[in-house]
Amino acid sequence: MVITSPTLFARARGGDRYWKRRRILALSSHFFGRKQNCYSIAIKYVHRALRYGVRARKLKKADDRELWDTRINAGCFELGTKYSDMKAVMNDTGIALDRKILQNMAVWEPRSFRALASLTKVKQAEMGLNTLGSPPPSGVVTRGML
Amino acid sequence: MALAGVAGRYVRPTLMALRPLFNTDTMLRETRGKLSLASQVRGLRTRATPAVLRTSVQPSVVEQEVVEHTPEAEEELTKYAIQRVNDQIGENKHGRLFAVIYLQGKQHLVTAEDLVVVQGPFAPTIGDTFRLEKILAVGGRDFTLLGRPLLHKDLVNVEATVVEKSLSHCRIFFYNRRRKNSRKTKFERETHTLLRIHRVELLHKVNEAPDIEGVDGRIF
Repeated sequence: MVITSPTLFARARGGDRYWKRRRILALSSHFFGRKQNCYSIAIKYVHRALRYGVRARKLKKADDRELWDTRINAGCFELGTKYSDMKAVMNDTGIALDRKILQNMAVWEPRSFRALASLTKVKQAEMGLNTLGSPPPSGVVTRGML
Repeated sequence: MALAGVAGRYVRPTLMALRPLFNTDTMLRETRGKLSLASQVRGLRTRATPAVLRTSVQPSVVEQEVVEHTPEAEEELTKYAIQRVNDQIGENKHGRLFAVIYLQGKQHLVTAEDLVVVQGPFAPTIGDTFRLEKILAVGGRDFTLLGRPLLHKDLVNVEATVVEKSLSHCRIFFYNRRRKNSRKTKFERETHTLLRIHRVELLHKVNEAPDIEGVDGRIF
């Protein structure tokens, strides 16, 4: 028998249960145990994972910043200054390198970072700060212009 | 009831009673030495000294450190350092240079052949070559030039070409209030533009900027 016309006002409700579950189970394929294969268990953990992802994207920025601060501070302590002092001197002299670049330089451009640390020490010595320790490094000339 | 013992000291009644049994002389001597704490302390107190007249304060000898200010030495050092840098620039012996560029609100530390990802809307399309003009610092093996905050446009040449214009991975923004029948899902893919940095080069020597700056291609 040939059906020449479709049924009038017929509705196709739902019918995508399989694909809805596929979408969830695709996100749970790296989970442990029944959480990765059983839909009613997986959906809870997939929702939690997605919520964690949203939250983590915000926290990542603060975490990165904290890591960069730690790295820059470590570099500064190795060279005999502090990051807080370096920040103040960079503000005074008008050097606008941000944390991301400074931590990069501390690791990969150590000579440039050392130059910034030396500048910090000399500028502070000119202002009369941090003079009880070792004398400021020689070979740094500001001529009162910086 | 106070009883007067030997030498007018107070001796306890029990000891008085026991006197015939023991060697009373030594006992009495010991009791005699046992003054009250206040009496013992009173004996230790020194006599009050007479008031000392304050004499005039003698000024302490001021030691001054003579610091030799040698601007000539500083000038020499400055000239020597700049000369060494300019020699390297003139002979192109500085090697690979890095530059800190400012692009779309973010800073990137780049050298030649680097790829830079620019997030968000960025007008240039694939194949467009342009010059990055906001340079915060430039450096090589032996020297670094730091801008305050930017270096001069004519000093550094950083060229880049747009290599790829695509979308980022799909970021899912999922908000769920559990057991409250409330959830919201958003999908976002932002445009990513990949730039290839061709070259980072210094155009003229330090302190030798041309008097007349080139104005080709500038928009005023």
